Amino acid sequence: MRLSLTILILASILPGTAFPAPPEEPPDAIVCRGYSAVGFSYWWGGECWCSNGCAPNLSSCSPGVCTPDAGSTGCPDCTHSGTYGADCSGFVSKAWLVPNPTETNACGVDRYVASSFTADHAYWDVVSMNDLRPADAVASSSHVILVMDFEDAYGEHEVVEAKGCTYGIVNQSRTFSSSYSGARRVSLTTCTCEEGQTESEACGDCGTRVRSCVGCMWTGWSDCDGPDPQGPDAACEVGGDAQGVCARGTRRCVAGWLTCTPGAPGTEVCDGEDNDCDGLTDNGTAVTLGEGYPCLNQCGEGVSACLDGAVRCVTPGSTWPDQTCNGDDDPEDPGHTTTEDGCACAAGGGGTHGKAMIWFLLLALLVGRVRLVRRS
Amino acid sequence: MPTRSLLKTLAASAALLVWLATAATPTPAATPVTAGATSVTAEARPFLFLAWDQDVGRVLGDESDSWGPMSFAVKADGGVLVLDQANLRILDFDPTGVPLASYALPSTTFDDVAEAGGHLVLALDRLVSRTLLVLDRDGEIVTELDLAGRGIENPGLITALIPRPDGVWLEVSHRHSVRVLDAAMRPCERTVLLGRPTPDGRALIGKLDRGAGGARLLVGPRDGSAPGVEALVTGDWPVRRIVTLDATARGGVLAVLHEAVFSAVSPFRVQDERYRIVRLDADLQETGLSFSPWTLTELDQRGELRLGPDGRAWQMFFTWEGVHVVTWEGRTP
Repeated sequence: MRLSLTILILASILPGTAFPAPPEEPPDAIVCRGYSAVGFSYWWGGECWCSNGCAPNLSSCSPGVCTPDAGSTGCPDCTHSGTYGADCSGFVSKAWLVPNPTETNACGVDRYVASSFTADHAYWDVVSMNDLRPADAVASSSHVILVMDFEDAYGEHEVVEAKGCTYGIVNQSRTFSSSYSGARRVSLTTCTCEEGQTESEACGDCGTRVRSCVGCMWTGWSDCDGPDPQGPDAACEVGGDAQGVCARGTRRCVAGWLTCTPGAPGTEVCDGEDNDCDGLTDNGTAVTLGEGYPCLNQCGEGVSACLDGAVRCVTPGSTWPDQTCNGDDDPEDPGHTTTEDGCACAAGGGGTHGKAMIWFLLLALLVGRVRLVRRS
Repeated sequence: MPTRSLLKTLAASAALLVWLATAATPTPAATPVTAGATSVTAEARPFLFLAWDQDVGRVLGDESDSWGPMSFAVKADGGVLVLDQANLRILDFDPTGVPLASYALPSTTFDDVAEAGGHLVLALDRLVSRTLLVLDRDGEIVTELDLAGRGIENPGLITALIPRPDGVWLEVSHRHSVRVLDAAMRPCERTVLLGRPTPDGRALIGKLDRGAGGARLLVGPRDGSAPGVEALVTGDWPVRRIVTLDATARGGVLAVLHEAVFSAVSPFRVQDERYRIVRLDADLQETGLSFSPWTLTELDQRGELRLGPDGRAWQMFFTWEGVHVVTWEGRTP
């Protein structure tokens, strides 16, 4: 067993009044040291890692390897190889600079055990679990965790913890049971910003997030918010198996990420589109397509039908307007369009399929009317 | 003098002892709660009991975290998957609680499980390998997905694994969800939405509102093209966190809130706590309410309550004896 474990026990029994109070510093400094340990190994009795600012320095310092012993359910029945690593309380002690400020890569130095953080101490105060802030610790009789941010929308926290032998030191979102209690280190700079000051930073690939200074402390970061792309940049193809309007999307900035939001499936109407995304256009019911209603056109009485993506009033045996009535220049009257010259009824039209459908619709309309007359 | 919490725990434990006496391990605890059970547990029906260290593994931390099975899932057929990551496996049970196969895991660091498409098993490791595995019923890995990418900068901040008819979504920081696999379980271009996707194609957003004494829920179109339906679900006690938020295929919503009363003086110990299980219809009108006395223990656990395909709430909780899976009476519309 390492010498530091003896010191560890002593430190927990004789709370560190023999050491000077930790240096005055803002909570962000503790958060920074916490992030710099992520990726190093779990080492029962350990308390050191290498930092490069707020990032871990894993290239210059080997993170070590923790291996559970055969049949073990966890440390201390485990073996560690390598120079660097920490257990939960070694990690929090070093991040908090208690009982003595040392560099993060200083190994075998004094530290506390997890249970120490569950009661008031010269270097920290117990705080309510409903009032956790960045740089606070959350501790039970056997584990201690460093809080990195304010609670999220569900009441969970981003943390860094030396979780265990197979995990190492990890950064994650988690909750805590009510057996945990909160602790806040002393000598934190009480004023870390100027009232009313704001900061912003870019999000993933669009938008920004902001935080503001309230009561001399930074609030948590806002959600990422940004303008959606406009114009040609707004159109996108959804891809995959999406069909119809669901295959055409709109590019939006969502939570800081540009994302192609697919068109939502809707009711199949007569517009030449596959509105319900089933791969077929204009295949709705007569009601949704607006078919089967009596109507008048220049050829006389007709019935509404969905043809070529539009509801038209068609008369069996003829079409109106005729196929030449399309707004093009009228060859018989140069300078005027066929529309301006008037459209005409033309024999035929609609094709065999179209004719059959029109006759069917007329028949259905007739039957419906007869039934209505009989009922009345 | 015993606290209300202690008395309630003892009462709940008495009911559990009845189960333990009548249910053989590790077979299903099919015996219903007896008439002597407390009213608070009368709505809970035992489905499964797994004894510690015999049927299921745990780690008791010493200067480290402690954990039991980190998660579980309710299958489409009404059976259950239990993530027994300490023993490097996922346990599979049929709808009567009879054990079926188990699926091997490559490490003990997986912390969520789900079923997709009625025949595939999803296993999530957010922290070490940072991968999502898709396993078939033979335990073969069909897909292995790297979690980090667009929408997911830090896989450790993934807060939910959500299989849906259109693919698999991962929620990040309880803020947004990212579709990472399509319906065929193939990696796809990642799309992002606020909140979490519902089976009926909408988005569900939850947010604690401590000032109002509850949680605000909002459900609406995924693209935000139209205003959604909003509701405030309040508790009798201060609401500490949203434990579970999910929706049925018909649009009903299950919301589980952790209510807790803490002492106002240091060391601010908890005095009473419970889970408030609220069932709401598609318009977020409350249709049912239950209370569970079984809250999170010191053994870490990510998946505590699930919405089953039958609309019932399923809960996995730990006692000194082992792991219990129960179903709650009342169905989410």
